[in-house]
Amino acid sequence: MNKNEVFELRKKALHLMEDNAVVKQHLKGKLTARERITVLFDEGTFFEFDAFNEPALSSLDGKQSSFGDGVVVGRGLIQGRSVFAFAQDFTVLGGSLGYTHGSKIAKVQEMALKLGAPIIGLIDSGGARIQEGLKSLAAYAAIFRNNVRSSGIIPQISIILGPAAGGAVYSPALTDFVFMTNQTSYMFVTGPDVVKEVLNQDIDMEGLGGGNVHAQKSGVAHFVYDDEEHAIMYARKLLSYLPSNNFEPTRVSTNVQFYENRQGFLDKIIPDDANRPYDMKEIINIIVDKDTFFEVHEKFAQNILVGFARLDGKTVGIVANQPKVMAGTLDINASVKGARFVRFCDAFNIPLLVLEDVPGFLPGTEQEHSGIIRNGAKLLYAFCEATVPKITVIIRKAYGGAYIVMSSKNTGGDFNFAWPTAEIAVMGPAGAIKIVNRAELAKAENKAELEKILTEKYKNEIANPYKAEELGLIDEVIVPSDTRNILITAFEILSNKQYSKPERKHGSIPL
Amino acid sequence: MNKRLLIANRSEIAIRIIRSAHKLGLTAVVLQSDKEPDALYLQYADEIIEARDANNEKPIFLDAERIVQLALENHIDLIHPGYGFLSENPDFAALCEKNGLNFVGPSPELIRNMGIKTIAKKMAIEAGLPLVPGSDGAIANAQVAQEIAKKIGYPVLLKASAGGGGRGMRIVEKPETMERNFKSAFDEATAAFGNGDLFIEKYLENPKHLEFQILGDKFGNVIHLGERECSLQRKHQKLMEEAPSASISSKVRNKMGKMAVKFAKSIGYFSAGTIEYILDEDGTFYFMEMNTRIQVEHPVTEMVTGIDLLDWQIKIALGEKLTLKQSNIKTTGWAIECRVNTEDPQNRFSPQTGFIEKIRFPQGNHVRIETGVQNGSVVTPYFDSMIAKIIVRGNNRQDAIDKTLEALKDFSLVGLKTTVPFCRTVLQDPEFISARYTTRWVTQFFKPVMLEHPDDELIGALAATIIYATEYLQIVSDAPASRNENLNVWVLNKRINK
Amino acid sequence: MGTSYVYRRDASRLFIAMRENGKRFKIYLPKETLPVIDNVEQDINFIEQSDYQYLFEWKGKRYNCELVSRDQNKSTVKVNGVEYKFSLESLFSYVRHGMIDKDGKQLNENNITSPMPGKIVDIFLAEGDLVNEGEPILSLEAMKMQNEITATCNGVIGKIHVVAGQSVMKDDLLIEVTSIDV
Repeated sequence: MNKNEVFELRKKALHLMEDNAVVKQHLKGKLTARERITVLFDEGTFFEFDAFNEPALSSLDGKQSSFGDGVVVGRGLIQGRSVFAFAQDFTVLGGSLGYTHGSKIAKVQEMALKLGAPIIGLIDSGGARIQEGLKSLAAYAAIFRNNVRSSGIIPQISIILGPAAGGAVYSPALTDFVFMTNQTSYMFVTGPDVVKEVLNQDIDMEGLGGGNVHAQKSGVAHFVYDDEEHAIMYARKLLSYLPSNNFEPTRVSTNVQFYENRQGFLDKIIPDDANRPYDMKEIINIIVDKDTFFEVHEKFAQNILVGFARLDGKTVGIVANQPKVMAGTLDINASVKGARFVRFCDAFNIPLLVLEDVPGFLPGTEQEHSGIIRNGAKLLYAFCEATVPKITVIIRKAYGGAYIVMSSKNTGGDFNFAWPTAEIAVMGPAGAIKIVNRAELAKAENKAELEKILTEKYKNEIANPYKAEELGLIDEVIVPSDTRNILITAFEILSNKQYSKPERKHGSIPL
Repeated sequence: MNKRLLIANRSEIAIRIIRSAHKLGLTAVVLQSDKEPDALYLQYADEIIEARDANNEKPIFLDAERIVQLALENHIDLIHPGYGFLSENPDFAALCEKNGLNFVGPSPELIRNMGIKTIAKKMAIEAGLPLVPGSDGAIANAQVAQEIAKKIGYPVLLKASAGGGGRGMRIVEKPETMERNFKSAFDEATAAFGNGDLFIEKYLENPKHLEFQILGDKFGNVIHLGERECSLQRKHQKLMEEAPSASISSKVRNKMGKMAVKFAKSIGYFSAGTIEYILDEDGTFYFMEMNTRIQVEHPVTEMVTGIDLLDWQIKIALGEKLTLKQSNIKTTGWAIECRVNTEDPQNRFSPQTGFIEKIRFPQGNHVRIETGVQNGSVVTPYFDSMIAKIIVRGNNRQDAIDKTLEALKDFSLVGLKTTVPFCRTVLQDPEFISARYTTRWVTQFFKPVMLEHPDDELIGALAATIIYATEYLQIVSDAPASRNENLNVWVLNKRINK
Repeated sequence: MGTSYVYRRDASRLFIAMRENGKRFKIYLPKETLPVIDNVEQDINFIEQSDYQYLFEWKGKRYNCELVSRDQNKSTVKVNGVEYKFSLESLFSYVRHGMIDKDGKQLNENNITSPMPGKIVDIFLAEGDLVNEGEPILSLEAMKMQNEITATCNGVIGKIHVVAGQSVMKDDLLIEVTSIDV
């Protein structure tokens, strides 16, 4: 084959997608696979391979040719870093996954793993290609296996930009982060038609598995955006916080700014009334570098906040209770959300910062019967298991089991700090005095008055942070406005942290 | 030894009273509520009494017994109640009197009488004041209300005898809805004031709200200091006031003033007080009620008369004789007050709480600022949303409007939204400029979009774009935003040997 | 490799700020010179920024701006005490949104069609290029005369349907142009 022929072939391969299918894709508010690739990577850096792979003959259905088999794979640079990607092309055979298509994805996955570079999947596929039968399922299986093999070694990101139905949903589910778009992307195991047939429920694609559903209710999607551009742009942003693999150290930003004038607000931000909420995000934004808090799972289980931020330029993972939502109690969703994030950070050597204001686990039959015990255990397991530097700042409440879970000193927290407003005890004053002072209260003439006195006494004598400091369970009670400086120093102290783990294949996390 | 004045109030009015107390050589003592332990007014006081009210249901300023108890413990001579809270509570005034504390205000009996609208109206009739047509006293039931309404003509207004602030108040447009409205007003009044008595009066479609400032001493001398127009209201809460009013002729002004003085004399009033009138479109005026306290908007009167009302209020309480004569009272120029409330005029005036990160007030000889807050203050949900007042004086009404607008441009507050943009909008509205505005202005004319300005919008668009672009350009930039930190050999070794 | 496509990630400093009432501002932020808003260079000076506050000076007046909240590409800013909500788009997402109207139909009023039968002599711009209103896009020869066909709006060149030398009929679609005017 001479040089000209190669050019001709390439032109043909590209031309295939510039037909009506492209216009159709645009009219749906979607981009084509190649357009997405250009949005994702630094200009002119995409190196494509396997562009001429042909699908199995059976799926051509009389069509002449289908170069690439509906998926674009290759490697490009994102802000100068090497990243692998595959982009499914809905304009070719509906982006369906045939054997060639699947093999191309598996190949790029293996390369990413071999070379220690992150991989991003741009998903827009009708699912398994029925014409190819079992072969397409086998291709899926290989992809899933690669997902699992890469897990914890390279960051894997899925951006869902169209349908992902049936078995196809499990590849994104196995990756570390899932981005979705509102209105144009869907994920479900069984579609609306089947739901209608089997359960006689009427539901549309958006309601069953749209971006918002997965971002808010199921927690499948970590991020949801209005359009593809923003989804892809923010995947670039996410990557700027992550190392390329589990051996690479924490990334450092070249530009450090912070809200200097706002540090003083931390001294006043906690309301006098212990039951009044405040917004934990405000505290985070003041402590970390300016505008660097990048929240993960923003709309799911909002009683716990997780996300990446930079502290003095270095990436940290933040886990914080959100008193504004459900008083910051831990429930099943919050525990699972927190556990997943903690394990990701641990796998990729991202230090953990815990900001704690938790009155306890959410009580009730619904929670107990759904297994708050085994789900809460996941968060506990994740924190105990994590060997990265772990620092906890107790902002206000830290009661009972929930206190233990949030990376307390004896679960292996490297530093536990407390604000003067901290209340650390086995339980809140209301419950505690009812048990401890039961006899006194029963006899009391003015019960309300006595309760008030006992509550004050309990807060002053038992729940205060200085008591915990005496026991060594708090390393230091700190002035809130100093938090940023102290954390920077503390993380710097911990930067050479070493650990030893007992020899084992892997632990048995209570899944 | 100096006499000791306890201020049973907070915020700007506490500071205002402290100022007068110092002028008169009194020791100013204030109460520190746990609900705002760092409030600005505490910094101005000579002494602070810690009130420890954190776990109490009511803040200290509403707790008559505790205030009196604390006053006795701290050897207080006088108590100034300010406005709101216990300022028009006859039981509090009586309790002070009983314990030998000098209550800065009229007698408990007067407060009680003026507080019950049916009694106040009866006394007003006796003094020859015109009243809005309506029932003579509390009405028994909806049937009676319907009969009276038929006589005076619909629409009519149902009002709680013990009421205020719009609670227990209903406009009834036609006979069919009387019964339903009567019941709901009755229930509301019972819940709010513990007294469900209602009376009925003619509902004026486009009324103006005027009030006359009164000063009277304990020797029967009473004068008035002219009027204020307070028509700019939202749900019966005043938002802006001016003095004098452009809505009445000097002839009517004299008549209304004389009547006010006559009424005050007839009931033996002493201290500072306010006679409120309602002015109908056709120029007829009616007596509405009397306030027996110093008003929020008293500064506009001070600005045009040059008389310090608070000084006089305290001096009168101390038993001094009113040396001012009616003929000495001259008003010059025009004054406008803008209340700075932490309310969001773009969103149904919903209250805002939180930090005042930065606050800046206008300055100038014609500008007077009364504030209860400073940079870093906290606006809590426990108290009133008014944080400050901006009072501006001009040579005439238009001059005052221009100067006020100019002054408001120099006001800024970071952290919370306020009613200042609303005041700005009002000052540029033709209805206000022509003085045609009535108490219905907010419901009839005001739309949140009027708060906007194309220049502000453009600057906002630019700011929003800059904020977005900063992040956007960073993400789309191909230049690395982060680098790898060198891995310490110590750590690397450990990791590899795992 | 690195083939250039119609669509490309754009780091041009042109943005569109849209209010919830539909009012739009096209804002160009040059690196060093003054901002250009709706094609007019505005003498707005950025005085200082501290935390969430931005101070501008324009027409001799100072404008206090405060960032109230931010969610992805939506921002609420407070100017002189009044809040304004904007959703922000970069040129390239805006252009793509512009391709689709409410009914999902392609907008084409700015597309270039052939005004007369003739032959394409030259095409001056490439797909993806920015074009100003009145700027010639291609040259068409008809009746021995060369006519320059110009853009009817400021926009981006979309798909080019013809090549130089090709003969076209009246009303043939020649070049798609997407308006960026607001």
